[in-house]
Amino acid sequence: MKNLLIDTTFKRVLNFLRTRSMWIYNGVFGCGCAEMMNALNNVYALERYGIKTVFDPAKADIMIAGGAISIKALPLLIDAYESMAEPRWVISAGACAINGGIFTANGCIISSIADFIPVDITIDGCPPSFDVIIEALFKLSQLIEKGEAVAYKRYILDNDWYKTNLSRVLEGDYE
Amino acid sequence: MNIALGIIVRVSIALVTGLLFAGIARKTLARLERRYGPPFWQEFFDIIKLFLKRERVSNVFGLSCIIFAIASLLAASMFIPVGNGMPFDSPACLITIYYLIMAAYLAILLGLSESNGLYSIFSNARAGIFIIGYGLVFITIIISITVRYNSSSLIAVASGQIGGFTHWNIVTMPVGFIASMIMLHGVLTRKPFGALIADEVSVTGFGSKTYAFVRFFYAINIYIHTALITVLFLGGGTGFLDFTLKQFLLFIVVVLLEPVFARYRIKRALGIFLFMAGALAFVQLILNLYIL
Repeated sequence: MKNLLIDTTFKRVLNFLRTRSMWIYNGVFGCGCAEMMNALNNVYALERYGIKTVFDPAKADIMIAGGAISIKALPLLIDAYESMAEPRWVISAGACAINGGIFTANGCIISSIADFIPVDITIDGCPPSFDVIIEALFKLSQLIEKGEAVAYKRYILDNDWYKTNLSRVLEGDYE
Repeated sequence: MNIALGIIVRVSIALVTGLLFAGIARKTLARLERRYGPPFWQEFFDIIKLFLKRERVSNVFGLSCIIFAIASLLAASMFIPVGNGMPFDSPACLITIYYLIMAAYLAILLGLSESNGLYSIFSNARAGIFIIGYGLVFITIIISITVRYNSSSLIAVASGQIGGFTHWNIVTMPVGFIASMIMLHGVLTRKPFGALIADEVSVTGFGSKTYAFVRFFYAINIYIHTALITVLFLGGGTGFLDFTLKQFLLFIVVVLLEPVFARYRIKRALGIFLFMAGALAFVQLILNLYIL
């Protein structure tokens, strides 16, 4: 199990190359999206580090999943995650994506995105500010370089658990 | 052995120069728009990253068409005399180069049509119409050059321009040069013709490795068209550095002109491309036939 999760030395060399070009798919819903757009605009020029947004999840490396994710939107988000080619990473942004935030009591909003897709880095805040999102991207870059950002492997190893959670939500049997 | 070595060197030069030019274009455009922009070597990291990702969609026919297109363009690049040399002895016939480039375009069109993307079919239909227009303009320029030199050999064209700046075709055939520059704008998918081949849309539905091959195709496309116009209108080059500098100047002119234009709508872009570039090329052909 441990061997499956930890990257080898050779893979870490490849990971260094991967961190030089990180393409982001924006999976942020609701008010979190505004700060997300703010973080990725040209004022902060993340393109100089090879970070840019793409609109086809098949080409993306990182998904920033955040905001208040409704049960209706969840299958679309999971489809987008599954169509990303491996290795793929997820940043969960905002209080709503962590525990439902102010929508905790709302039956239409999921309580945690980590129950459905493996998350590498979590950012709190309502909504998280742009500088924290940028810091999280650099932190993720460091983790990838060290070979420690391997949460995507859990999606294959624990696929049953993730799929059970999804089917529970879609059938209405979810807390 | 020497031929094999020459071919390997030529392929490497085409790939590296194309990717470097594409990176420089990204950086230059960013600076013109007052953005910081990616470093000019970013294209290399992007391509390496895309190749390192696991292929999600296995589309063998689409991928093989794209690889055929790349091979076809690389084969065409072998026939262009860079500096003094070619990898092998050949008259470097313009018709052969035209045939190989058009085969490459049709192959990549066929390959991208295999995409599962929702919008790629529209993008490919536009690209198909553009390729027909591009072929018409390109063959008119080739015929006018052939009429002038009584030969379709690039070696003859390059040697006919020896003797200084005043002998270059940019001076003797300025109308044809303007037509070929408009053609260069279109074929490199630069504004105002940026909407004609929407490369990002065409590849939706493909996996990362296929996209990496498409990026390679566009890089070689930059190399081959700048090299062709350098030989046809700027007198070729005495050495590799001289030749590459001329290529770079051509390319940077196209890039610097890009922010001046808006992105035209498809019908307008096609109309301007066909009627301006096509008409100018035709005028040059008439001039070559009856006056020069």
